[in-house]
Amino acid sequence: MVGEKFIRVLHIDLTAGDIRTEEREDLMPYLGGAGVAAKLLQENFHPGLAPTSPKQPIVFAIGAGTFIFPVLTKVVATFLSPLTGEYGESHAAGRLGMAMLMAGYDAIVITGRSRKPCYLAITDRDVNIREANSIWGLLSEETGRIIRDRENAGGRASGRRSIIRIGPAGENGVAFASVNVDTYRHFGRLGLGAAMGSKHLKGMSVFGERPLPIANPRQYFKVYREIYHKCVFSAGMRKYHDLGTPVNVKSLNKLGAIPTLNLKAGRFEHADDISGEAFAEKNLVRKMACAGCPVGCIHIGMYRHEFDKGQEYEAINVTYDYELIFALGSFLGIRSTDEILAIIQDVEEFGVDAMSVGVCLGWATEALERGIITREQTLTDLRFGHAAGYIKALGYLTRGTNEFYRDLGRGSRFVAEKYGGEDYAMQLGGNEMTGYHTGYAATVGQAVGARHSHLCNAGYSLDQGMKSFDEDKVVDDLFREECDRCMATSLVMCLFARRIYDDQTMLDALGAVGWDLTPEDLVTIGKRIYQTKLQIKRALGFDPRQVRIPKRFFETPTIHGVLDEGTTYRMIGKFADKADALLEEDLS
Amino acid sequence: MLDHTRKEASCQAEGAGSVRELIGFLGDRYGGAFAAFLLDDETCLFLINGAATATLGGLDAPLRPGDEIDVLPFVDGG
Amino acid sequence: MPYIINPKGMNKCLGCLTCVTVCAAVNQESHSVAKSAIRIRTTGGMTGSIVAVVCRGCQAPACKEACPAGALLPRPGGGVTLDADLCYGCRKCVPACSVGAVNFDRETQKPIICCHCGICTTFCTHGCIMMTEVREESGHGG
Repeated sequence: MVGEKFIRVLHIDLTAGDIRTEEREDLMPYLGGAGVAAKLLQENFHPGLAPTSPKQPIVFAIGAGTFIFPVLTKVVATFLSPLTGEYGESHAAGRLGMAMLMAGYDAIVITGRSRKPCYLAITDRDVNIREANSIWGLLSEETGRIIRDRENAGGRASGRRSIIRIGPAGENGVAFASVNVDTYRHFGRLGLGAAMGSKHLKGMSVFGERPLPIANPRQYFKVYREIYHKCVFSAGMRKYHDLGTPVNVKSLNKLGAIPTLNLKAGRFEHADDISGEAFAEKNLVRKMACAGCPVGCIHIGMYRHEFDKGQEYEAINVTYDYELIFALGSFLGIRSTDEILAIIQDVEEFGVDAMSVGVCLGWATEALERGIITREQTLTDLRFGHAAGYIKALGYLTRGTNEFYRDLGRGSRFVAEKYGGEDYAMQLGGNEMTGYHTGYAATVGQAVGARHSHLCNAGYSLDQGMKSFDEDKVVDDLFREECDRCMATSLVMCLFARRIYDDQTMLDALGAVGWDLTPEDLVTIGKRIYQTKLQIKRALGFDPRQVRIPKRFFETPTIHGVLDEGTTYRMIGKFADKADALLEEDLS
Repeated sequence: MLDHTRKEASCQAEGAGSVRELIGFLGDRYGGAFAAFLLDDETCLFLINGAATATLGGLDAPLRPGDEIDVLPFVDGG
Repeated sequence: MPYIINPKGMNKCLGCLTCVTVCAAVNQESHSVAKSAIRIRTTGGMTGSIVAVVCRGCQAPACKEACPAGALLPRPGGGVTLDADLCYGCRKCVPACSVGAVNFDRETQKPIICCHCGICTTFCTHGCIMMTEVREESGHGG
C-alpha cells in the first residue's frame, strides 16, 4: 500500500465463503502489479490441475504507483489461461486501479468455486459475496448497470467505483472469453473471462474512501507535476488522444504489415475506408480516459442502425481501437466502419476477446473455403467481407450451439489441430496473433513472450527501428525489453507511457512515495519478476523450443520480406537459452 | 510529423544519393529539428519504393532518380 | 476581481480525474479521491455524460445558512471557508447544497470545502474547468 512497508492482500475463497486479509512485507521485493500478481499466482496455483479447476487462483494486483502518478493506471491479473493451458496475464485500467487503491487492497486473490453464481462487492469497509443467480446469462452492459445500481453506497460511490464483469461467453467457458472493465476497457486476452466463469463469478465491484495521506507532499507534487507535463505535452502521447491507436491503420497498411484476410496478405485494399481518419470522420463521438491518465486514448464510435421494421432505429456507442480494426476488419475483409462497430458491439456484449475471435473466424472462413469444414457445421455463410455471417457466428460461438462452435471456442490452435488447417490458424504459443506482421522480432517476440502478447517485449517496435538485421542483437533486445517491462508493469505503467518513464523518472516517482531504489535495483526487480513468470511457465509445461509456428507466418511478407523458418526457430532457441540462464540466477 | 513540415505531406527532392543525404535535404528545407527527428532511431522509418530500408542498407541505402520514398511514423499501440 | 471555478467545457472531459487528484494532493495532502473538493461523476454509468460537481461560489450560500455552529464563513467573491475549530461535524451543510458540492471527510468528520484555489483548472488538459471572474450582479461566474 502506498506509504506502507507491506503489500495488503485480500483472500477470498468462493467455496467456503472465507475472507481474510494479510499484510505481506516479504512481497515488497516484487514491488506490485505484475511482480506481486505473478508471485501470488505461484504461491496459490496447482500445476497438476486444469486451468478451470476450482482450486486455481485468479489474482488482481495494483502497482507501487497505480493512480499515484500520471498514466500509471493499470491492474495486472494473473491466472491459468484456459486458452493456452499455461501462464495467463492480462492488464486493464478503467477505474479498477483507482478503486483498488481507494479500497485499500494491493492485491486480491480469488480461489475456489461458488456453488451458485455470485459477484463480489469490495469496499474499504466490507467484502461481500452477493448473489448473481438473477444476472447470470445477462449481457455485459446490463450486468454493469445492475451492479452499479446495487453497489451505490448511498450515492457516495458514483465516479469512484469500478465494475468488472463477464458476459455469456465467460459463463459458457469460451477459452478466450474476456472481462469488461467499466464499459470501455477489458482484461481481453488469454481467457480470464472463462476462468471467472468457471468459478461462477459474474463480476466484481470495488469502491473505497481510504484517507491515503501523502508522506512527502512537496516532493511528491514536484515529481507529479514534472511527469504530468511530459505526458501532456509530448507529441508521442498526443497521437493517442487525437486519432488514438487507429492512426496505425494507414501506416501499417503502407508497410504491408496489417494482417489481412487471415494473413493471406499484409495490405488491405480498403484500408483507407477503415482507417483512424475514417472512423473519426464518420463515427467518433467521444474520447475518454482511464482514471489517472490525462491522455485519453479511449475512442468511442457511434453507428445508427435500423434494428426492426417500422423505422425502429437505435444509436450504438462502441469503443474501437487498432487491434479491433485489424481483427474484426482487415483480417475478415470487412470494409466499412459501421460494420466493424456492429461486430465489436456483439463482441463486447457477449464478452470475448476481439483479437482472438477475429483470428478464429478468419481461420473458419478459410477452412470453409477450402472445404475442410462444412456449411452444416458453420450454420451460416462465413465469407470474407460478409459482416452478417460473422455476427451470427459470434452468437453460435458464445452459446456453443454445436460441436464445431464449441471446438472453435477452444481457440485456433485446438480447432485447427482437430479439423486441419494448422498452417493458416494464426496463433503463436496458443494465443491468436496481434495486428503487427512486422518481422522476426514481432513473431519471435509473441511466441516466447510470457503472456504471448506483442506488449511483452515490443518486437513490432524493434522491427520498425531496425536499420539492419542482426539476429543476436534482436534476441538480446527482446529479452532485455521483456525484463524491463516486468519492472514497468509492476508500477503499473500503461505501456503507452513507456518512453516517458525512463529509469530516472521511475526512480524519482518511486522515491517520492518512500521507495529507496537504485538503477541496479530496477534491473534486478525486472529480472526477479521475469524469473518468477518463467518458473510458473515451466511448471505448467511451457517450453519455447516446442512452439510450432503456423507456416503462413513464413509465407506472407513482413516489412523486411518473407521470414525464414530456420532463422525464426534459431532465434527462439537463443531466447530460450537466455531464459534458462535467468532461471538459474540467484536474485534473492 | 506534419507539424515539422508546415503541413506539407509530400515534396520533390534533388541531389540526394542516399537516405542520409535525403535527410540532409529535408533538414535544409524544414529545419534542423526535423532532421534530428528523422535520424532518431525510435521515431520513424523509411520505405524506398515500398521496401523497408533495413534490407537495403539502412541510412546508406542508395537512391536513384524516380525513387519514391515514404517517411512513416512509428506504429505503437496495444 | 475574485475568481471562482466554472465547469464550462465538460463536453471535452475525459474523466481522467487529474483535477480530483491534484485537489486532494494540494489541499489535503492526500492521494485519496474522497478528499477532493471537486468530484467527477457521470449521469449514469460510463456511457453517461460527465459532470463536475464543484462549489459554484454562491453569494448567499445555503451551506452557510444551514450551519448551526457558524463554522462556514463567507468568502470574498463567493462561496465559504471553513473554521474547523467551530465545526462539530453535524453534516447539515451536506444536504443543504442542492448541487451536492459539499463533500464530507469521513476521516476528520468535517466537510471539505472548495477554496477556489484553481489548482484543478491548472491541471485540466482540455480546459473543461476554468477560473472565471465573478460578476457583481449575478454573483456567479460568467
